[in-house]
Amino acid sequence: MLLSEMKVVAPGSLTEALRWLEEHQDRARPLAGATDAMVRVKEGQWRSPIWVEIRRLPELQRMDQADGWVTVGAAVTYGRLLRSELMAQTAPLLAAAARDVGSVQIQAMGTLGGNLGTASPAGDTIPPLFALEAEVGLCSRGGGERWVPVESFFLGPGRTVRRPDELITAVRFAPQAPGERWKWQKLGLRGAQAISMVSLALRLQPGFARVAFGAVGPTVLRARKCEAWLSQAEAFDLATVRSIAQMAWKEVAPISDVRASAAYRQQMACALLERGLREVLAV
Amino acid sequence: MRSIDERRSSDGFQWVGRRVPRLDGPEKVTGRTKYMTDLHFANAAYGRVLRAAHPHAIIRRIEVSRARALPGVICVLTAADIPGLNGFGIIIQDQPVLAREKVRMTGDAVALVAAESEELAEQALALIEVDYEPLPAVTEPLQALAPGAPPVHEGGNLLQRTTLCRGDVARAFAEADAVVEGTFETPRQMHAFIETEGGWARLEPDGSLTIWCPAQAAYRDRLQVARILGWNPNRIRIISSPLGGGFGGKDELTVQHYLALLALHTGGRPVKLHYKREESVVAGIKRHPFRVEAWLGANRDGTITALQARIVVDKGAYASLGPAVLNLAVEHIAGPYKVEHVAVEGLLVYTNNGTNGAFRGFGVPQTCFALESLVEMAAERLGIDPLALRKQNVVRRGEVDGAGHRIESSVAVWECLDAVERSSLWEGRAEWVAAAPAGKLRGYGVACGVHGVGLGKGVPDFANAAVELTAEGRFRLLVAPQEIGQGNGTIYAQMAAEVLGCAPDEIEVVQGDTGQVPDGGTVTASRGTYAGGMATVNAAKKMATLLGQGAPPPLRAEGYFILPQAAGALPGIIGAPHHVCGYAAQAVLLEVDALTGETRVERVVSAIDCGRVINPTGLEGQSEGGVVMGVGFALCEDTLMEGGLHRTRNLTTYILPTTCETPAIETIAVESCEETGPFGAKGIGEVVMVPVVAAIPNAIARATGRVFRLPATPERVWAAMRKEAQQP
Repeated sequence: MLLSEMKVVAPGSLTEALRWLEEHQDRARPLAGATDAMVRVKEGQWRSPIWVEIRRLPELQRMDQADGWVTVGAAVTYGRLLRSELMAQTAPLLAAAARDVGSVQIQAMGTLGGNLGTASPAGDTIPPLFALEAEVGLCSRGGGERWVPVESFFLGPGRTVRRPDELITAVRFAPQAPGERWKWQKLGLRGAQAISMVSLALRLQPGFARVAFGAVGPTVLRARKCEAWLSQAEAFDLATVRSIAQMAWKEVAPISDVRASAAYRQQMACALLERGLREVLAV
Repeated sequence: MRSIDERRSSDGFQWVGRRVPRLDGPEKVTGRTKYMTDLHFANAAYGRVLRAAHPHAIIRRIEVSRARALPGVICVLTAADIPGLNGFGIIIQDQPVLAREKVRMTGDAVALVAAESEELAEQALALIEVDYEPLPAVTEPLQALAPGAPPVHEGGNLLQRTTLCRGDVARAFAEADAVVEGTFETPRQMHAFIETEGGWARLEPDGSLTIWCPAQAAYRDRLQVARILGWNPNRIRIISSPLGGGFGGKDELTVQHYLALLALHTGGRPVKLHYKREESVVAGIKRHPFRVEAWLGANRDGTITALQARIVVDKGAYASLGPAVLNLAVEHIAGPYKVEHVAVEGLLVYTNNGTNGAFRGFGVPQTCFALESLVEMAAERLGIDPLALRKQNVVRRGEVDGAGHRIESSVAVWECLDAVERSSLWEGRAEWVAAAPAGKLRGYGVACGVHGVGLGKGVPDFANAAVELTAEGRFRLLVAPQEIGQGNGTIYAQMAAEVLGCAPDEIEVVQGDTGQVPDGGTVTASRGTYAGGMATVNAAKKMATLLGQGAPPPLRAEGYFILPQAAGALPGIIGAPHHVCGYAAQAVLLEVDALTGETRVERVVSAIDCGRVINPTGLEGQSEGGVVMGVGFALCEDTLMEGGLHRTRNLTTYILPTTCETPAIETIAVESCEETGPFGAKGIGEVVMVPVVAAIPNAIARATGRVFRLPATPERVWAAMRKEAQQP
């Protein structure tokens, strides 16, 4: 498929967008900030005959809090996330990750829904969503709305449970507790505009811990053994922190690629957890 | 640099030494500058190049009929369509314009297409059928030298062997109090200019050919294109300035020959060719990766006595300027040190790893990393302060350097080291290291370096420039070296204004257009300010004489400059020695994360022996740009290849430093006076990136463990850290 043969449609409403997806199924692809799509198309992949532009759909722009849920529309950009007062109060972990995505230009275009849809194990907003135990909202004309726990949303690199007629419409999660300790860590080959070699989202409350790693498995992974030990520990001295961090070694399954070896990534999962714990616990 | 500015105000110059704003500054920062690839012509045809499908293969057959039949295709060209020599290369013409019988890298061009659109041209490429017989790819230089290795070229894989031998190294090592050794490997650095290779060409109604293409050597490019076309070079005009970056990567022909061939087959329609980043990565030259195995001997009193080295260079598939790169690397391997016993063997080895060529520094950063690491190791072994050890051994005017060349020109490398020693960075280094926060390891490092100015002994090197006074009473300065981002147009105008008694912005500077400027050579080899500047000064002086005689406009005066050659000789090393050299000393403070190996350069001091400063802002620009390029070489940049194929395909995985990786950089101008240069100036465009590539690993070694392979990625520093931790 040539570039000039591809068609971009810009529906004015969610209903219209869903109609395009329903009618054209695999021949149509949602297009949000295009920060991944442009790259793939340039590489000769994702040559979809129809692109359904959803970036401006009003139904996908929400950012609100009600009934215990914080809901973020799929077309909300990283830039909006990182500047949002609501995010600063309810999900600073997610806002911190958004700040580490690409460049200012990418942050202005790329969207939360796009990060989920691309389903890269290195997607920077995904570990925070795992740590928040978020749910992904999917919508279709025939099936209406369904909410999928983010941990069940990904099938593998680039693969999700989204059906071709469905659109990711929103993400929802319970807010972080006031005073909870949290940390976002990203290890890339440089300070900005770098794809993660390893990333970490960490949440700690008394008797509660969430640890999610990015870029060290086929999908983002929760480190449940680390979580269990962290939530059960009575006091955190350096030795305890180090031994818990070392457990991460057994909770990740990285591969070697052009950025780093699997062995280094595995060690770095531990390193990021140790560094993160020491910072939030001041040990 | 306040001291420089202050001194300037009392030396009697009106423009030289002043912070004259860039003449091209406003149009550049407002985006109005038109680079050659920004031009657009009506009725254009669009070209594309078919690249080889294998790194090493015999071509059995090329079938283009299906591509030619595609509607919208204007022409499809193969080797059979080349009227003249199917070969190019600045030194030897071993690179085919279009491969006929064999491909030696995936960047080899096999066919050219021009079509009504770029997309159609790309479609046509897919319709060209090439029947290959793949050969084993030669990817390791050491294995390429082994008997029975598949030959990349008929003559075998050793392209050149360069040696340098003085004194008696065996005796010197036996007598040395300390001998240190290491094997040092350097990256396949990419020029990564923002403007990828590209341009336009048009066959003019009078039968001549115009080529618009960013390039560093327009006149030489014209000769190479003429040889390929079998044309009188005077029928070809090349407009090559300004460039959107070059750094040596546009020294060799890039697309000029393809543009020329296509323009001969588009019926007078202008044709455009502009590489995507991915094509630039595959087809463009890179910095030669070096493997330097070296030993350094020193006495207890700190005298460096002996250096032995074996350099193995990954040439890639074609020579380009590789032979000259190896020679400069050998000439400068002992750096600015008075080492008496030296034995060096350099081997330039063909492989199927793309192709390598000129790159800022020209072989010197690679050997500087090895030498300056060893100097640091020797200082540690002997318990001598590393900066004091360097000051003790560096060459002064009238003394003989490690290559055996007596320095008869300006040299202020001792003063550069002294300036570093007196800098606040160096004075506060211990305190800064001791103040490392938890989880961080801090270190400081220093290195010094030298880089020749101009093409060196045995290579004719000249510069011409012209000054015109138009009938309207405007000065025009016509000078060959291109504006490549460094701002040479402004300093040429400053020099001419100083001589002519006008203001720099009253002079129109024309650069790099063979239709207008005299042949003044290349913008390479740190020669722009020095050679282009002397030709400018000489032309301006002649114009001043004409004006003094009361001659009426229009007037034209040409100035000539032949670069002085060194009195001594280094037999067997073409291009060495250099009569004039730039020197620098640089020190860094850096911080390593104790858990991850992430390394962050915090501060750099860059002391540069530049002769006289023409424009302090320009010097700072070169210094800062050079340091950042050195940071990239040392910490993150490498074009990864496997089996002759590129694993690094674009700037997503080619990790360039960003502002986040840019340290605070203090530039100190150490002004000497180079008598042969314009107002005492000499070239520093390359030496500014040399010492820093070694100062960084030296600082890493002080913080944690030593790295022998660059770039020092987090993973490599982490490994060095672990190795250090395991030592008793």
